[in-house]
Amino acid sequence: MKCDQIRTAILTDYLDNESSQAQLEEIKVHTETCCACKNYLDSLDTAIKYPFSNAANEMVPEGIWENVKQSITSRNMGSALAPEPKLLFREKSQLYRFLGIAASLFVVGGMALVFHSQKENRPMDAKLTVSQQNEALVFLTDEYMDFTSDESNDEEFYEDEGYL
Amino acid sequence: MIIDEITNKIIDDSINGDVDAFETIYQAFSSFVYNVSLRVTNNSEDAREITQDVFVTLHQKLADFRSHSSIKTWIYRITVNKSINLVKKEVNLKERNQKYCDRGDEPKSNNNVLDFINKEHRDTILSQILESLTVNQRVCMVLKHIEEMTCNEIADVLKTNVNTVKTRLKRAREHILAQRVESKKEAITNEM
Ligand SMILES: [Zn+2]
Repeated sequence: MKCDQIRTAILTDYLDNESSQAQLEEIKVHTETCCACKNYLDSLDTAIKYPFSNAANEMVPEGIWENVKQSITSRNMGSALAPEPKLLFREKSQLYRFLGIAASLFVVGGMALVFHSQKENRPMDAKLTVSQQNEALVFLTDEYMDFTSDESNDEEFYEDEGYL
Repeated sequence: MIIDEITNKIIDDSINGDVDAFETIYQAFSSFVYNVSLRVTNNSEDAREITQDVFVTLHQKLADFRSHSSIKTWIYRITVNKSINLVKKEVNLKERNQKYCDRGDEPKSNNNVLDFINKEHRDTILSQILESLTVNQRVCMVLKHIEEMTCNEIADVLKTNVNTVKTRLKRAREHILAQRVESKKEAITNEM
């Protein structure tokens, strides 16, 4: 290998710790006789290997676990009293299906009530039922929003390759 | 407890509300989460916040994981994501460097004061190197040279191509090397 190939190998596979045995041998033999490449290898060792490999692992500060524990136990207690509505819909498709059924029931129910109230002339009853159903829908929609924003949070990814 | 000793039983017990079992998972992973987020954000307060956040979220999602290896990938991934997002939000880099270096309450006994100075010196150099990289290069360098992960493992965590990882590492090293040459030139100019 020529000098520039050796240096590229040092900069990439060698520092990645993913050199083949043959490549390692070639780098070793080359840097024994080529002063410039030996200097290049040494400068990378000083610039990268030294500061990174000596990086001390910081102790995890105390108190973090206590906060986590507090948060999860209060959540456990909360779910013991009332199971989280989120768990009703493990899959989004299930939720959509449920929302679809709820919406059609709402429409059919609403129409039935309109006919019914026209027939029986009891508008107060009809109003109350519709607003109750509305509440149920608002609740479902809120849960749905929460569910989706949660998902997208975890999957936030960065394909920022602009600098490459 | 090390990461590979997290058994399915520990995961199941945690799902069923066993807090001690969940603490075992915390003990196995918290050092990775804290240190990676500390290196990437260069801010101990941010690292604290991210660590707490990762484990509270993990607890909520435990039932979705079947094995320790899927937990491991998820924890590595969310730690890196949260750190990158935080860095991208933060604009004042100088202020955050200040915050990290200002940890004045570190114990300094006379015996290891030299160790302490050396460690602080190394940490400052490392902080400066990391600050000079793009956040994506920084993440790759931390996972490669501090956490000693393979390029394939890093690509898996970042959900990206292994060649992208290799390119980021190469660019980061070229940048670090160029900066060294630059600062040497400056030193020589100042002496003259
Ligand atoms: Zn050469």
